[in-house]
Amino acid sequence: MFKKLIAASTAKSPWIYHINTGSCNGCDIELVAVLTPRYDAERFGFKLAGTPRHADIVVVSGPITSQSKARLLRTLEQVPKPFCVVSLGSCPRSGNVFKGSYSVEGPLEKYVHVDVSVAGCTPKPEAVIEGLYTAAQILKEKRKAMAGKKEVAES
Amino acid sequence: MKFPFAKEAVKNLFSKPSTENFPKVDVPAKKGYRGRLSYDPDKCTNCGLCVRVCSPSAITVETTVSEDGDTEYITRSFDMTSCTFCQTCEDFCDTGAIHLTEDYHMAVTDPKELIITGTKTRRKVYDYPEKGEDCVYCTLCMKVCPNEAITVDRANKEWEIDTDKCVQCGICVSKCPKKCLTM
Repeated sequence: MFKKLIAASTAKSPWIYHINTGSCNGCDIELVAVLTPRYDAERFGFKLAGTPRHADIVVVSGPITSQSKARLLRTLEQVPKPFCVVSLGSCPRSGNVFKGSYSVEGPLEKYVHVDVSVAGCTPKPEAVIEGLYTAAQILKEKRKAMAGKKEVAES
Repeated sequence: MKFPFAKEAVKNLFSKPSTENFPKVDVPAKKGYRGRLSYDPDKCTNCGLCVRVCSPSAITVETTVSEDGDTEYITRSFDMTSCTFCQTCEDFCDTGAIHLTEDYHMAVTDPKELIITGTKTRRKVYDYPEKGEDCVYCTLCMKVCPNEAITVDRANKEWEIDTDKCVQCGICVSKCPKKCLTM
């Protein structure tokens, strides 16, 4: 019963961890705008977590630069499974105008599977909400699949 | 006793919340917002300017010729995951085939949904612009040519076209002030 209660409550409060991997700060501002009263993503339970260990959804913005690559990988290792990765804007997906640069080691797909990609440069806050909402749905599915596997293993 | 914000508090108690009820009520983007690109292959002249001006090189062109060599299939793909939405392609497009719409709903799980493609089918022609007798060597055709196929030497009165570079877009013909270029 306790497990069910925990599952129901975690499904309704997906916490976000935001990592900037060399972004121009445009997407970061829009993500913060999403949490302001006007757009208010906290209606759906989204909350910025201070550490990746508390996060369910990792939001990555920026083309992965050489300096931030190691930090990104270390962050992704710390996130408890199952988790979702959301790419914000064009940069993590392709490198945008920075692609081909000597200091860009993207795209993000090389290192981790990207569940939801939000296009735009920068995406509108509404588009970000849409992306996060889709990620929360995917996270629910992932949790269900994982719980099913555990039960099989126990029995 | 004084309540400095009493009036404000009462006013806000009876006013609508400032939060947008977004997923339930769709919020349209402001006029002039640059969102998802739309491409009309029928209007396109295949001049190639959009590919040249695109700073993140998000536009790719693939040309295939049918087996009998009569028809050309020109496929343009616009990668929205690579786009900066700078609108330069729309500004440079001579015929208005490219337009950035106000649609911002671009949160997808499959990135292939964000690639916009359009195929233009046209008869393969081996017809290139030709200079008439009225030419004054104004070099305007050289300047407007998106692929730098035309070279004009003003001093020696020479006019040359590189048929390998020419894409038969017809921009030079439409811009010729003496109307002496024909195609």
